[in-house]
Amino acid sequence: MYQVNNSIKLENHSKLTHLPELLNDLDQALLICHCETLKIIEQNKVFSNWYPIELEHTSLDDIFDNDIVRRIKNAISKKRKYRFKVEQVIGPRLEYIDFNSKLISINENQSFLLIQGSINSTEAQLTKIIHDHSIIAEKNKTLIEQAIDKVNAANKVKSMFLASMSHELRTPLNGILGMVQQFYKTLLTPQQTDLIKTIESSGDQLLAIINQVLDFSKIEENKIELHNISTDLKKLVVDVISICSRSVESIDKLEIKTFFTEQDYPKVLVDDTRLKQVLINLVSNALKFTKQGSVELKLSLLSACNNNCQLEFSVTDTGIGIEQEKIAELFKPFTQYDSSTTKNYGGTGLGLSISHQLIKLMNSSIDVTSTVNHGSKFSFKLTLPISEQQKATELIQHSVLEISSLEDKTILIVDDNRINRKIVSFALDCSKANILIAENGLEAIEQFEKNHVDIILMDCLMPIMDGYDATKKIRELESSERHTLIFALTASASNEVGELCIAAGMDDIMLKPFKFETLLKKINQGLASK
Amino acid sequence: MSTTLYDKYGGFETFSAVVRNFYQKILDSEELAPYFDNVNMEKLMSHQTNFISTALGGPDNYTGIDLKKAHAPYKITVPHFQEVAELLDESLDEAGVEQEDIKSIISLIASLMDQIVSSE
Repeated sequence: MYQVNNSIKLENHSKLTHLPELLNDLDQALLICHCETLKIIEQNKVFSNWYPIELEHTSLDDIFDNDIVRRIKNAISKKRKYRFKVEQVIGPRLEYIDFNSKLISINENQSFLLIQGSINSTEAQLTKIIHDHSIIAEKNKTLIEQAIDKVNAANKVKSMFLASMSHELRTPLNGILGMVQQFYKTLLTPQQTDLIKTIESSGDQLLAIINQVLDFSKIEENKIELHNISTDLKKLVVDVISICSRSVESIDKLEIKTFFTEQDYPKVLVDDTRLKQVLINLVSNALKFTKQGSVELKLSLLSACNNNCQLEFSVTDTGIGIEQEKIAELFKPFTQYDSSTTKNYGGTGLGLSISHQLIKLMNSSIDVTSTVNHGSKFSFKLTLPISEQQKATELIQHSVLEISSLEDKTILIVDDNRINRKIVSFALDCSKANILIAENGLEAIEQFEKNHVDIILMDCLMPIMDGYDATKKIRELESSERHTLIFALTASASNEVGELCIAAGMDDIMLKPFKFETLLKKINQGLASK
Repeated sequence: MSTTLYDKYGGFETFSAVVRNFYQKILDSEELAPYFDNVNMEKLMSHQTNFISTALGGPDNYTGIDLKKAHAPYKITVPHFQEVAELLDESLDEAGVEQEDIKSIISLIASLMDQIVSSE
């Protein structure tokens, strides 16, 4: 039997000094140990990478577990090789390493224990790694899906919160803006007119902010759909300028202009409301940042063929301008030129982000060029289909204007909120229409049965019976040749509410707060097309 | 009826791995390796797997010849027999077989010593 030579001393190992360079070039892990004490004498780079521990005076016991060390000792005493497998995390992976230990003799009285290790890359092992990996990947997929579900749920809560906040804010705002409109009808001193105008414009601003926040959340959820209708662009541009001009306090130093490259433009199919929203945003921004000089909204017809035409809208101002590096930041949500902008000019920082997204929906993008202290130009090009009904729409619009009096009409106002009922009545008080009141859906049905009602202005959410159920019931009661106009009057601006109204059988929706003239116009239009 | 050791540790798959590991250990031993210089190892391992399986209550597939006749030409010594038994012990230990069961397997093998050892 082999006997371990007791004369081996650690100081005799000086012969190994130059070994490391040689060993380091191998792609196997190598470990050289004292064959009695199992103290580590030398290790190569590969081994240090796998087992990065402080190796001063460490022995095999510090690296491998007791069973393995016991068997290695046993194998040494029996002059045998000993093979073993170890699982070890190397870098990002769990590797299976095949080790084998054996005695090497340099001369008669000098032996070392040599341990070699190599990563097991046999087919079976690789199959196992791939199998494990697929289990982990599947697990990760489940985790990711759970996380996505969580985020979606949170996002839904956010959207619901925004929708209900919008509803809650609109209701009192309807009270304020409605009363202001009624106030204008009374005899006012110039000072009172000035005060009431301030209340009105503040209310309008607040409403615009609520709408922006709501729009933004709809865009985030991809809920905005474009509704293209035949549109007269020249009229739309003039409208935009007239709306924006109202907010300008002094027009002495600032000129607001429109510029048309053509006498006439073809009628096009476009979502007029959204296009108007973008242009109003761009022009209002220009006005906000321009103290003197001019703001110009230009409409150019770039090309036109049988079916399509390409148009460019541009808003040019002579305002404070934007630094080149900040232009890209402009379209990010909640971003303003700098934090002092919010202090000096107000706003949510959502306007341009919304405009950017809307123009993107129309398959285009907003270009910005600007020079600090000289002004900016915001422009976008749209390729729009030319509307086939170039004349027909004008005829309809013409007929709308003919009905102006509601003298012999009966209008039923249904709303549980006293202030809201009052405001709708105020809006209709000049129309000389016969006004009926109901405080919930059930009362509305009773009134409908007792009277010949022409138009019903229906709130949606009411106690006892809501507007949807009342509408359904009324539609059932109607004879086949009779159709009563039912308009929803709601403070909920969500698409869902709109869909519910239409599904219940209502003809149209008016969002609270509303302008008196808009409500009258809508009623007239409804009666005219009946 | 209690389960056999063969079934308890996973049957053929486990014991064929134990046998493979066991012969690797034998070949790694300078003392034992020379016995196997001209032996067809695959065939031997297959025989041994069947032998152990049968001994531990598995299916009876052992078709080898008489143990005494088979080992006689090799002039096996007691220490070598004991070392082989030790390597089998180690192989079973590494495969996760409980100490109690290893003991009973080794004592079964030890009872065959007379048939295998043929030299001083």
